[in-house]
Amino acid sequence: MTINVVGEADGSKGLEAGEECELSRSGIRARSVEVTVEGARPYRSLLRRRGAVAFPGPGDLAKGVALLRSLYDASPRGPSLVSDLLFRRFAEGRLVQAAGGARRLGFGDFLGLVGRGGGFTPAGDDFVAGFTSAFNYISRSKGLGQIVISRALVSSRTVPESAAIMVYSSKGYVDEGMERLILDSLGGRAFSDDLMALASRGHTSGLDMSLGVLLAEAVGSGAEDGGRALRKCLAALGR
Amino acid sequence: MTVTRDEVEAANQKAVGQMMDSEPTWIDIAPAARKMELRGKKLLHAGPPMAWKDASGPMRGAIIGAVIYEGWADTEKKAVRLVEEGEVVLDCDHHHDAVGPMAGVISPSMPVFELEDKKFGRRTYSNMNEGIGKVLRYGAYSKEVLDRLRWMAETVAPVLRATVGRIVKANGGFPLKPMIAQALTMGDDCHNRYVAATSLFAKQIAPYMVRTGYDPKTLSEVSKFIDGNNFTTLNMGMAAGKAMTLAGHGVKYSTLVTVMSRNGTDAGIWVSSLGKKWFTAPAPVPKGLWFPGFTESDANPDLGDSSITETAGYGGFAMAAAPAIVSWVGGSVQAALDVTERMYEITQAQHKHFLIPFLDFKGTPVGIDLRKVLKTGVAPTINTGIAHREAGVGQVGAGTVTFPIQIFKDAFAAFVDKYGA
Repeated sequence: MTINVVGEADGSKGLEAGEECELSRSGIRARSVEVTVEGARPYRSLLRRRGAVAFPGPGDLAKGVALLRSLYDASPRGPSLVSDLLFRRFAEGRLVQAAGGARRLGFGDFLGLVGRGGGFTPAGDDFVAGFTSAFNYISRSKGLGQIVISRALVSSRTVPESAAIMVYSSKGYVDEGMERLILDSLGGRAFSDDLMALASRGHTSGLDMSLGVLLAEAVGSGAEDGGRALRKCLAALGR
Repeated sequence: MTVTRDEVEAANQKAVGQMMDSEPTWIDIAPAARKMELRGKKLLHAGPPMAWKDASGPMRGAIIGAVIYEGWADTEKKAVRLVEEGEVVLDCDHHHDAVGPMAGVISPSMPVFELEDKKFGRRTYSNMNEGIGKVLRYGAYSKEVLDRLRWMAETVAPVLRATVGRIVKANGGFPLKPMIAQALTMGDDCHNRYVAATSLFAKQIAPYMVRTGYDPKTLSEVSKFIDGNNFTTLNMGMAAGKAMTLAGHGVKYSTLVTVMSRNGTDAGIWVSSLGKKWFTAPAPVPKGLWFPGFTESDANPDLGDSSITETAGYGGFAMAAAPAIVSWVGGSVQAALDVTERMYEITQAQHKHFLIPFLDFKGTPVGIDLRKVLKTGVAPTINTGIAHREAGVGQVGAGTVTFPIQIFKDAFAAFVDKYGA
């Protein structure tokens, strides 16, 4: 594979963090540069398609959350997101209502989490990215409404890199590790290895994203189990 | 019931505290049949359980050698048949509170060091070290190798037994922890470098050895053997590590690793709160320095119980204490420092007895926490000898190796299954 960075007329080269990019026929085109990629297979996000969704059982989801919680405990910074009172209120309020069918989640429900917490990409943002990527995949597969993230609104509340990750994730553009977690967990396959593979990412980014995925699946399965999976997950998280 | 963060923290503190408080003390040396009740045609080996058909070249060589050494067969062919037919039974050293470097084979008539943990009362064992090169533990089993083993059993072990008998009478035994602690401040890591430790050992046993009543010629030969092999104290250091980690084993809710070991085919671990269940994955091949005439293509996947030293907080974890070790295992002094620094990320504590002068007498990293391994993606690094992949050749180098991360994933998933949700 070769990567060719083409400069603009003014001689500037290199991508700026958070810069708008679009996939072009030969690679990536941004405002300041065009990166041509030769020899690489074209990227096709499997989350952009509709798929068969088989929710993991409540016990499996809760076990996954317990696994994440144990790894949060071992993080140098401690369990930042999961011990954040605002996050707990959000999960025990809005998510529980959504899982029970009493609320339809929209972007506004997540705004309070955007920019919340520490890290290069704030913990709240990572959670939102994970949640919306899984939730929207489920919704897309079932022909339901999706959560649409307003770039303008998130950009004013967080760093550009994080805003971009949330927007792309919600549209189904995630990295291979996240894609594997979502597809394995919703495909009836074991996913604890996927969780552990993501765990080492960043300080807690991988944990926050994974937690978002699992809680989205617990909410999504609410129509089938009346919110039992989510309650079990929150109990596992609440230790 | 789900375990809480505080319960895990408390369990880990207890486990690592007991590891550090353990007081392994050498009290005897005698045949394994007598000390470990190793009866019949049974052989112990390093690492997790293993069937003969899966055994690597050096492990096969060591087992064949041990069968011939015991007189159960007089040829390689007959020895193999006995093992294939199940007449010779194989079991893990760790299942008998024992450890052995490389193939780690212990047979009934081989002398074993017996250590007693004066704090917690457990007894642990290891065989004797033969030196480097063409030796049984690296899979060599020629006449020269077996003759040396017999001489060790008939000449060296009795002298050491009489010596330690006097030490026990005078002081209750020979404490290993102070020796390891001191050697770490003298440039040893106490896994692949035991230069200082062996010197300290020779110095400290000398007053007792000369009063054993053995003739000067025998004492001279034994002294020469000890002096001529810097790894003389490796096996005792390993049995000490086994005592320390046993002290930390069996603590409910603890996520600390209490055994790391390899058998040349698989690598495996135990976790304090998960009993004696092995979590395994294929053993990796070490990277390192090669003896003249050998290359990486000659290397067998890693083997030996010696990673009990890292599990107990020294060996590769204390490489920052042993800059000269890089001339044996390869790499740079900075790389050795980096290994120790990285291991702090995945461990529960800094050792209160094992200190590293170069790091301002910081304690060595001790108590590998499964959760931290997975959170950081950093797997434990150990240093190791390298065996030739074929039986009968022996040692071909020394280097470093990192344990496969999959083992820690599997163990953590089992922990969550048992306690987590």
